Amino acid sequence: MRPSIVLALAIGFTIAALLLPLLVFAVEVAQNPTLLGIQVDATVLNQSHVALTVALSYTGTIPLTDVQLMVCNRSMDLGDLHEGATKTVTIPLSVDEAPGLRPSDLGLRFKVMGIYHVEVRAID
Amino acid sequence: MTRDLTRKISRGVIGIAMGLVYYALYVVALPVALQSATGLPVELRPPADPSTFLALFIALGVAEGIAPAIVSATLGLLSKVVGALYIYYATNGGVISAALAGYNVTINLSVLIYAIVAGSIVVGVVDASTRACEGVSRV
Repeated sequence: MRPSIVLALAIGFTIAALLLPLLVFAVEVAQNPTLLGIQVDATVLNQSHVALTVALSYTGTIPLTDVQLMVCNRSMDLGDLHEGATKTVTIPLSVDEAPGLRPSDLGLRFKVMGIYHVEVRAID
Repeated sequence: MTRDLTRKISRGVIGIAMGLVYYALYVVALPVALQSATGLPVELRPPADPSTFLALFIALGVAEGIAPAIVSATLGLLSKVVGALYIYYATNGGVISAALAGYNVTINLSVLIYAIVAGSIVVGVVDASTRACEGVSRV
């Protein structure tokens, strides 16, 4: 067998291995759109501040690493999300910021198995 | 003379088939595989009309088939480089965005795109050098 064919097969397998986590993640998301669940609650802390509680839950098999939650140009590191993980963050917002909060102010950034950067942002 | 002409015609036909294989791989199969892997309705932005690439791959394939060994090896490498560059530019360097169910999703596939580009070039260089060595040893 020619060396270039052996090399092409090796590179083909490497590319397939690189593609696999993303493919599994996409299939899981297609089968279960609530795979990565986000629940947002707001409670009044005092006259000047509101607490925004964001609960993230993940039921997929592919680990999500370097998860960051973005709220109003602020980003919070949530670490890694594995199967069955739930993370909750409370973000204090001033009463001036809270009424102007739009869906696009909330976003999520993560890496699929540490390889592919994904950013999800709601559209207004 | 007739045998030489027949050989060149058959090599030209094989070249057309090789051009179609490169087109099917780089312009059809790999973008479809990327769309399936991301699960997003990705809109590809090819650097030129796909029919231009079809013509280019066929022309390179025919030239590769009928040219002398060393030139043929270089043209084979060129086909792979053209294919890799098509993938790179059509996918915006691997950064793809799509609107899905009220969300704007951006996925950075640059690692995968660089692996395809580097893999194509490495395979092309190894293939070209092997064929060039075979051509030299035959002379």
